[in-house]
Parts: sequence; structure tokens; C-alpha cells
Amino acid sequence: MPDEQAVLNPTTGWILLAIFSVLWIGLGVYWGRKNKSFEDHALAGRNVGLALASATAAATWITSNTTMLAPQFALQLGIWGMLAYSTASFGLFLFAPIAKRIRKLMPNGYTSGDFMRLRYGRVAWGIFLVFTLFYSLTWLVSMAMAGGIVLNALAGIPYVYGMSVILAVCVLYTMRGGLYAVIGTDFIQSVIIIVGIVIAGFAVLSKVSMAEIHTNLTANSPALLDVLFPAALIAIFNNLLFGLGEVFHNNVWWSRAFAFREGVGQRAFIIAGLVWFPIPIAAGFVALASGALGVAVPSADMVGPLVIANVLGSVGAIAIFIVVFCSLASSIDSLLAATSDLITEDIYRRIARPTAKPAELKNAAQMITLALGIGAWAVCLPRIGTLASVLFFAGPLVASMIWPIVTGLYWKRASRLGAISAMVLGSGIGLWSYFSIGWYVASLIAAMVSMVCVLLFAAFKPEEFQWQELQEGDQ
Amino acid sequence: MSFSSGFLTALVYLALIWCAGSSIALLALLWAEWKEGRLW
Amino acid sequence: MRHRLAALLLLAASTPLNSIASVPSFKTEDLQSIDAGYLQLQWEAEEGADITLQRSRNADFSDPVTVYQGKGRALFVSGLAEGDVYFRLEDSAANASDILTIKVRHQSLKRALYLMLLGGLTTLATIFVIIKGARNAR
Repeated sequence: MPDEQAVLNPTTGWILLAIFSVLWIGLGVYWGRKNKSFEDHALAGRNVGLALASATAAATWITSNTTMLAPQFALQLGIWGMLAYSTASFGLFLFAPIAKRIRKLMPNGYTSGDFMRLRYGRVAWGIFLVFTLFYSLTWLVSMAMAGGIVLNALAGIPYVYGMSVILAVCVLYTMRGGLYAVIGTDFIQSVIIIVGIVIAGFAVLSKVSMAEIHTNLTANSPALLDVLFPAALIAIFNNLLFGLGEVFHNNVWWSRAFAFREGVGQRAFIIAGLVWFPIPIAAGFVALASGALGVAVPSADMVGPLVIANVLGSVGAIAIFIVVFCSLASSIDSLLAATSDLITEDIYRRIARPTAKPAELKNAAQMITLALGIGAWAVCLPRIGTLASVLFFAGPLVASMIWPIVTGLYWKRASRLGAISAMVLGSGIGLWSYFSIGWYVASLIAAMVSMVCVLLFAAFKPEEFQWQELQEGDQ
Repeated sequence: MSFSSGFLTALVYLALIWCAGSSIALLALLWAEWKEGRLW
Repeated sequence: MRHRLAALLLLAASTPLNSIASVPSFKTEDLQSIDAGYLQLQWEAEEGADITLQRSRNADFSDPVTVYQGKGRALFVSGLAEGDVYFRLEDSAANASDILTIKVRHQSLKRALYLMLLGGLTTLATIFVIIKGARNAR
């Protein structure tokens, strides 16, 4: 997207960037004073209340794609596209009972890696670490890249500067403040994002009625209104299963299950799902208005900002800038924190230094956060277009972990071999179908294959797992 | 077969009002826990 | 799906600058077949020239619809119905481009519904395991 598309002048962009950077870092330093040990840093003292818990779960799931990609999805796949996107909230709804279960089985656990190691042994744990690090790191890189590109498109801020500032700000406040800072800023970010979306939505509706939008679509883009639009129908469950895989396996979510106060987790994830559910529709429908408003859209990914800027002018552009910055930050901070905790707990502590003291672990977590940030920055710097396509592979990888994790939490008879074969065969066949059939079936097939593997082993070679084995006595 | 204008209108207004309500609910929840000093 | 934003942004960002041409012409591949009803149209024309983009369901443009007018050099179109769609460009001096034909061939509805069924069953099974597990754990 070239600079001439910018809807905001660079000076305004820089001022906004500066205000929010100072705000987030200031809050990070302020909340960071609460951190004494690794447990405080990584899990906010395991005592997060319902309000902050609900908001952080919702905010983390509102990434730059909820605000930017939802309109794109609506523009490409129409009404079903928006609804398909909303089904990602199922990840949050279904994680609600899982979070409760996790807290009960592992009151002293730290990461999703802990669970995989204790439940399925070292081989499954190794595969899990490879998959989850691939997913987390590519997600991190894609968000930082998207951040640089979006700030460039919105305000003409050069890509490298925008990308660097976003990463640097998130690294700084996550390093200083740990999960306290991540959760605290998430609350503010989620409220800003939702309010911004509501204002933008009603502003669009003040310019054009839904009836006019419908008439325009019927004339120019009838497939978007089609109840039987094949590409959109296929997207529904593929997206849903991709979303389940993302939430169920990733330490971003597990760390929250451990961090929330006892009895809070289940309700918090249900509230978060309810908060999240309407957002893809509220943020996405503006794309459907582009035709009726006469907004020409050169490329699908810019439809949201273009429509809002057309309706609200520079006020709208400022709002979009803030909403996008907040949604990027709320996900990048969580990823940095959860991934550095995973590496600290699962690699540094379990493999490299089993005798490490809590204060040492906290320092290690901070250094790993910094290293992750620098690493992501170095990968983002050359802005390699083909790199982004690698990220598509994450779908089958994460979808193949749904069944091992769910049955591992609820079934004693779920076995090591079942989990290993599910992850290897599920992701392998999922990737194969990605290339031989299409991206839109990859997650679906991976989830199905892994389900069959888990079920077969549970039926014919069951284990008799003792739940106490999940509670390590060394905490 | 197409989604009707009425369905689309209802869907969008419901989503927007829902969003507005959820932001208020989050703030109310925050206020309630903050008063009791039970935020975290 | 979260990665598609980045991919598409990168794709858009890597589009080369317009070269100078006197008669407007499409850079989009002619006669291509699309299976989800959307694509990005790109074209080149003389620097700064106002371009009109027309769409028609007939190759002879007997029922043209103007879909874009301006100095842009790309447009994203979506929601196209099954069948062939024709596009053409015209600048203010009435220089017209060759006609671009796009074959909209939506994916098979039968296969889509079949995949939906499989996806639905996998999802239901997952939900079932979680809900039953949560009940038994109580």
C-alpha cells in the first residue's frame, strides 16, 4: 500500500503514536512494581478478578485482524463471512470449562507446556513445543509486520519506524510490567476498541441505511448476500476449528487460566466470548457499505479504514489509528509475555537450569521477552512478502492439537501414542490437504484426523492416567 | 436465495447495540470490583 | 485466518509502481477463473489520467455498469455471481482498453455442504467431550 493512500498526516500519526507509547510504558512501569517473583511476573500473583480477567481474554482475542480483517472478510465472503468470523468466539466459550479444569488439575502450573510434559511425556512435549513456538513466533512476526504496514497506510509513517515503535513499546511494558501490565493495558485497550467500533458503526449508519446497502449489494455483489455462497460456507468450520486450536493449545490462554483467581476463569471466558462475539459483525459490516457509499476499494485489506475515513473524515482516521494500535498492542503484549513464560518455564527451567531461583527466573523471563522482541524485529526488518505465506501453515498445526488437549484434560484413557500420532498425522495430512485441496480445508482435515487418532488409541490401547501426576510438588 | 434486508439490518443493529452494552458491562464490573479492592 | 491480513497487506505492498502507457490496459490476467467471486483488478494508464471502469455481463457491453471513476489504478471487486463478467477501461480521451474476461466459477455447493457437515460433526464431537467432561468432573 503506497503512502499516497494515507488517510492521516504523518505528524498526527506520530503524535498519537507518542501519546499511546508513553501511556502503555508508564502503566507497565507502574504496575511492574508489584512484581517480586517469576510467579508475579508470569501469572500476576494468580489472583486476577473477574472484570480484568474478562477484558483481558476478550482483548487478546481482538487482534489487528478483528478490527482490520473482519471488514476484509465481509467484503470477500459477505454476510456468511462476518458470521464465520464471529464463530471464533467459540474458542473462548469452550475454553471456559477448560480453564476451570486446568486450574483444578494444576493449581501450581505455569504453562501449557507443563501440561503436555506431565500428561503425555517428553516426546509429545517436544512436538508441542515445536508447533506452539512456530505458531506463536509467526503470529508475533505477522502482527508486527501488519502493524508497520497499517501505520504506513494510515498515516504515511515509514514501515520500519512504525514496526519498530510498536514492537519496542510492547517489549518495554511487557518486560517491566509482566502479566500485570499486559492485563491492565488489555482492559483499557478493549474498552477503547469496542467504543471505537460502535462510534464508527453508527457514523456509517448515519450516512447510509441498511436498506440502501442491501439494494446496492443485490445489484453489484449478489454473492455476498447469498445464503448458499460455497466459499463462505466452507470457511465457517475451518475458521472455527482454527480458532479452537489456537485458543486450546496456546500459552497465551493457559497463562490466563493459571492467573485468574480461583472460581473466576470459567465465568471470565464466557463473558469474554459474549463481548467478542458481535465485534466481527459490528466492525465488518462497514465493508458492505463501501459500494453504497461510493468508496472505491483498491485492495481488500484497506476497506475498513477507507470507509471510516470517508464517513468520519480525519476524526474517523484518528479513531481507526487508535483502535488499530490498541488491538495490535493487546495481542503483541500477550504473545510476548506468554511465549517468554513458555520458554522460561519449559526450556530454561526444565531443560537448562532446573535449580533456578524465582528471582532468577523473573530476570530470565524479562531477557527472553527482550530477545523475542529483537528477534521478531530482525525478521520483520526486510519486509519479505513471501514470509507471510508461511503463516498459513499454522492452521493445521494448531488444529491437530485440539483433541490431544481436550481428551488429555478429561479422559484418563487418552494415551501418549494417541496424542503423538494425532499431532503428527493430523498436522501432516492437514498440510498435505492444504497444498492438494486448498487452505480452506487444512484446519478441518487436521482436526478430523487427529480426532480419529485419539479415539482409536483411547479405544484400543487406553492408558490409566493418574490426575495427581499433573501436580508437581516442587512449586 | 439471499439474506433479506431485514435480516441484515437486524444483525448489524443487534451487533452494535450488543457491543455498546458489553463495554458498559465491562466498566460496571471493573467499578464493582474496584470498590471492593478485589481487582487483582 | 489471522495471518491472511498480513499476507494480503504484503501482497498489496509489493505491487510495482505504474508504468506509463497511453492506452489504458489491464494488468490482471485475462480469462482467469475465480472460485470465490472476488479479485483485485489492476490496470495501467497515462500518469494522472482519469479512468472509467465498466462492468458488463455481455461481451458486447450492451448493458454497461460503471463501477469506478477516478485516478486509482486498482479496484477490489467481490460478490460476483456465477458466469462470465467483462470489464473494460476508458480514459477521458475515450481511449478504451481491451476487454478483460473473468470467469466466475463458484466452488461446488455440494462439496461445500459436505465439508460443512464434516466440520460440524468434528465441532460437535469436541463440544460433546468438553461438556461431558466438565459434568463428570463436578
